[in-house]
Amino acid sequence: MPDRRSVRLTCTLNGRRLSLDAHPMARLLDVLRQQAGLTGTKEGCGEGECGACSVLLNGRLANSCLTPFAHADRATIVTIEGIASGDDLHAVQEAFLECGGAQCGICTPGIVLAAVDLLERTPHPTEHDVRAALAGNLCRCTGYMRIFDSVLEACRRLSASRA
Amino acid sequence: MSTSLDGFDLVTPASLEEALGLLASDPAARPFAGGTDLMVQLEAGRLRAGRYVNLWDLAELRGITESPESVAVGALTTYTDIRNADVLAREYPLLVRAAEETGGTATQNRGTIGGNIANASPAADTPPALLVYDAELELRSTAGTRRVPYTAFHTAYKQMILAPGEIISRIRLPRRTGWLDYYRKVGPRRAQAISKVCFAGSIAMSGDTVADVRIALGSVAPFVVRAVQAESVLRGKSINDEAIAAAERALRSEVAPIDDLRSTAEYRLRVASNLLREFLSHSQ
Amino acid sequence: MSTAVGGSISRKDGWVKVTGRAPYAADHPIAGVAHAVAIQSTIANGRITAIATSLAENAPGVLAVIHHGNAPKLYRPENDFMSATKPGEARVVFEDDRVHYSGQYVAIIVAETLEQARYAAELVKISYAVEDPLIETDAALDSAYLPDEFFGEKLTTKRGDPDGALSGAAVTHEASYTTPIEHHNPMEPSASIAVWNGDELTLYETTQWVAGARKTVAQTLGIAEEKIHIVSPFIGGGFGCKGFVWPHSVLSAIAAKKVNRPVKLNLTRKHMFSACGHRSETKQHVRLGAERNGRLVAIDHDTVVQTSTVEEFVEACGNTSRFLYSCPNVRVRHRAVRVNVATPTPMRAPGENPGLFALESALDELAYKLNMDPVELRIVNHADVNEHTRKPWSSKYLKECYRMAAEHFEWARRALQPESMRDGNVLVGWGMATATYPGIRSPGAAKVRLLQDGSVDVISATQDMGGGTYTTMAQIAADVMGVAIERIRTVLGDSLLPPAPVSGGSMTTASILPAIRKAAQDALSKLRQLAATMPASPFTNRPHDDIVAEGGRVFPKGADPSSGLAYEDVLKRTNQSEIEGEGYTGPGPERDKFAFQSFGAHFVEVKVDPEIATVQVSRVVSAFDVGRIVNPKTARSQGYSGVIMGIGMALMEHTVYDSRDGSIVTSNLADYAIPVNADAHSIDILFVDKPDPFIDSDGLGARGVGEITVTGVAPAIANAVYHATGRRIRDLPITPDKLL
Repeated sequence: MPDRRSVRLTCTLNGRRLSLDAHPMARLLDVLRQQAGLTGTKEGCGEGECGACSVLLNGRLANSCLTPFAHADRATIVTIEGIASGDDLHAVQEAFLECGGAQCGICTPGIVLAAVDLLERTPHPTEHDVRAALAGNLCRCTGYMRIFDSVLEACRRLSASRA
Repeated sequence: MSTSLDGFDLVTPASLEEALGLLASDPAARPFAGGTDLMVQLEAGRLRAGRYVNLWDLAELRGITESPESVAVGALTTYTDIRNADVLAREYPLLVRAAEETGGTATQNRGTIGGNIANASPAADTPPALLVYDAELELRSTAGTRRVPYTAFHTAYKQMILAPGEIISRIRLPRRTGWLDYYRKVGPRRAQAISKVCFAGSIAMSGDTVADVRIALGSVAPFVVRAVQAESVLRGKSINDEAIAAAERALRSEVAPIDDLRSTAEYRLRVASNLLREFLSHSQ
Repeated sequence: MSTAVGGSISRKDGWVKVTGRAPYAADHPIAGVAHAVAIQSTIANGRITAIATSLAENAPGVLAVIHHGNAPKLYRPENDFMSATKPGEARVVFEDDRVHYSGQYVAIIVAETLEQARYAAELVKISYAVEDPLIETDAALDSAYLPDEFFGEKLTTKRGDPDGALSGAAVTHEASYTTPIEHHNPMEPSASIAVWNGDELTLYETTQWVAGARKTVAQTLGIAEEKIHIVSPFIGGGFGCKGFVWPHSVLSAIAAKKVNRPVKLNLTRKHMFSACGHRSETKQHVRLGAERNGRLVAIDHDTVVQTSTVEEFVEACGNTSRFLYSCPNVRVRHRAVRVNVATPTPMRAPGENPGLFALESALDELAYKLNMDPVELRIVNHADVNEHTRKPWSSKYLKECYRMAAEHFEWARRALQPESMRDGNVLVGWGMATATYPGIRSPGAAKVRLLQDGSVDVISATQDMGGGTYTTMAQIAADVMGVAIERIRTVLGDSLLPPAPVSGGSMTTASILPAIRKAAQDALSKLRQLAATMPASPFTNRPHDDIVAEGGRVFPKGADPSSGLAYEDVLKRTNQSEIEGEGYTGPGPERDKFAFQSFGAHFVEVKVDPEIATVQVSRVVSAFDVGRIVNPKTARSQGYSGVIMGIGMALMEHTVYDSRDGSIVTSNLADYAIPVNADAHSIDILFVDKPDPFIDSDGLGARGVGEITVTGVAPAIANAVYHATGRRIRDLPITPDKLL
């Protein structure tokens, strides 16, 4: 019988502590979308190839489709919904908005998170750094050119705000 | 997701001892680390139902430690950890290269070197580097710890010598100096690719002659292979056209590539040969 | 006057997309929704002999198990594109016990939770009487037939005497070219949520055509169109696979009816490989004849494609060959074979894209035989009129495209001989090809609503799958209304809105923007009439045509705008909450007079590693003549988008079937490789940006830009690969094993 192995775990999701119940092997993606109602995390492939389901798990980019719920125990999770402060966009979001980094938009949440993760670790990335950091995020619309521009623009904005 | 979780369980032990106990008590139980492989199999409906033991939080299996003779890499070390380890970048650059070329950032953050070995894919990216570095695996179970050379670990397609209840706990890399390394992965696209051919080579020269050499390849046989015959052809020789040709002949005799949807046997054979030549030419 | 049209305006829908708040089909929160899982056939040809469902029916949480044996009666829709009743395949789901292809839906489980539905799905046991499937084109060639026409175009045509001209030609070229089955793979898998309220149905969909979905689903269910409401505000890419109605939209509707509560059916990536179309494999044979000076005397373009056993869809590869170049003797023929593979469907530039791979590769080969620059060969054969329809072009700047792109690329530095350029050890090649796509326009309707706060709603039942329609609709209204674009909201993707055509065929811009212009003008006219009725105002006793409404203000003709009132003040003072203008426009007699076609050119540099024969597309310069550019920012993105999809087509994309059982071996994004970030290098997109004077009667002059951008990319790459290596690859994709 399904769901009989459901466990209750506590985590911090977008700054809020909460408890969730699910099978320990359930995909974090499903728990986020169905139980936490956070539908900004998208499913593109279900096997870690496309990055649409990216979240920050304990400060590291992770594919939530490959993350079992058990690994959310006591974890800090940030989804796309936790990147802006209220209606104030993060510099990466502003840059994607302005440079056209979002087209159909379905891969955008994952790519924004990958870019945030990159720029937190590597404030002045090279072109190679950007391409490597976004290698796991597939996009079928933009040809990646505008995504690339967006990340560089975000980098400029963040540098300016630090200066 | 397309698979039901009925029949699956994932239990989280508090310690390595408890984990080994869980694995010993249930012969069907299998270890679960970062999930980058097993969760894919689950989605595809290919994962065997049963109990999985969550190793992810076991600190005993993490970390990189150095001794005068070797560097030991915990089985739960992620590709990202490998990329960030100075000692590996200095002494085992092929391993770092392989980690960089495995998946994207998210996969590198969650995929582990132990998992890459235990997954036993012939196309895995880190095993050729491990073969070149004479890696030794430390295997743990409730029965104790044993060490096996990595060359003896894989026995056939997806087969390995892990006993029931046994896990890979650590990978030991002997320290060495004076070697030149070479790595090349050929995939269908420029990143996040499953390899068509993966080549790792390392060579130690003594003047004009080859003092010692290691050659390993992925995606050209049922499991990653070391090209021991090509190596022995080269040992003690100067690198010239004749030696290169002899090594290529030897290499062709000891790999067994196949046609599959990622490439052809013929392509793999010729590229393996070309990369061997490129590796040796670089070493001249 | 404001000049929003032509401006690089950021996407109106950008904010909700970068914050994750844009609701795609699977994201709508629906109270009490039950979850469905669709079971697909594991055989490609045969019959279902038994479905054992009792275990599943008795499993926890299961609400229904539906299959051909217990499904409600469904009706085949008219299956007519022009009347918006086009399903992906003619056969309706669960029609009978026949299985036509692997992956065909054979049952659906509905349960309280998705997990319960998955569990129950594993308990359903289906028995089949298996027949040998026909999977490969070659195996089916004996039964190839000549389909008559497709979307109104004849599929076999001839002018002049191609055979005679070929036998007398000074130089000839003949070769076969093949392109594999490709899948659209938008990053968003399709999803459908069905909600019944009495006999009224709301479907939350991801569709490129809300009007088509409404009518087609209505006919399939046998209910009135007015009873169906399609909601699809955001689409995570489509490229054609969300254009027609596929069975999942019907399945969610019948499931929801059966269990009497909302039902959600979310396809997996694997489903997407058999559930919503693909591009057929194509096998094309091209014969060219030319004079020594390069003038073409004959083109013979013969195509074999696949279609399924449940629908006829023909990838019309040859039709562009009828008019792309000037040539007196042209024969085009298409044959189709019926195979046990799911039904093909339009995929970004259907016909043109694989067709140009053959034609533009062949032309390159001919150029080498003539020892002629490939651009020169194309200019020599420039078609000054459409020689197939014998109509003049509405506007054509193809030569300008060649010139712009060649200059930017520095094509003049190219050495003619193959294998003549190197970068260290790496082989470098330069190649080019022509791009083309028709300038289609359909009838479209829109509303423009001026609200009492001075903001404006621009409304049409069109769709935005990423191309930028949210933004261009606002731009045109901003210009006509004289209202800042920030104060304009775009409302689309809902079948209750004024009807619009499919977001396909690159027709949205030319179809919808004129309607919006008209609706905005209508709104302003109504505003002036309203002003004329205002007592004690600057307009008292003035006829309404003596009143001007522009730039956000209403004022007497000839007077200073400041002497009048702001739009919103007219509404407030007259106690009107809003004013609504309506617009309906469509193609007219200009279609009989002119041929509407967009053109372009791609110039490509590749680098080939000789040791491993991998190809890197290191530089692309593309120039397009698509009429006026409404928004350079979004239009250029469409350019990048087409180029990268062309790179995927050229170098990696192909779907592999197991010929024994028809299953798809590459039904995931690891085995079906699409380009990644690192595959995109330098791409420059240029536009001629000259309005088409005849495409609309409103002076906008914009044709579409979505599809032309992918056409010609693959042959330009293949031509560059030949130039780099001396190896001509006529069989896509150009994988290293073919090149080494």
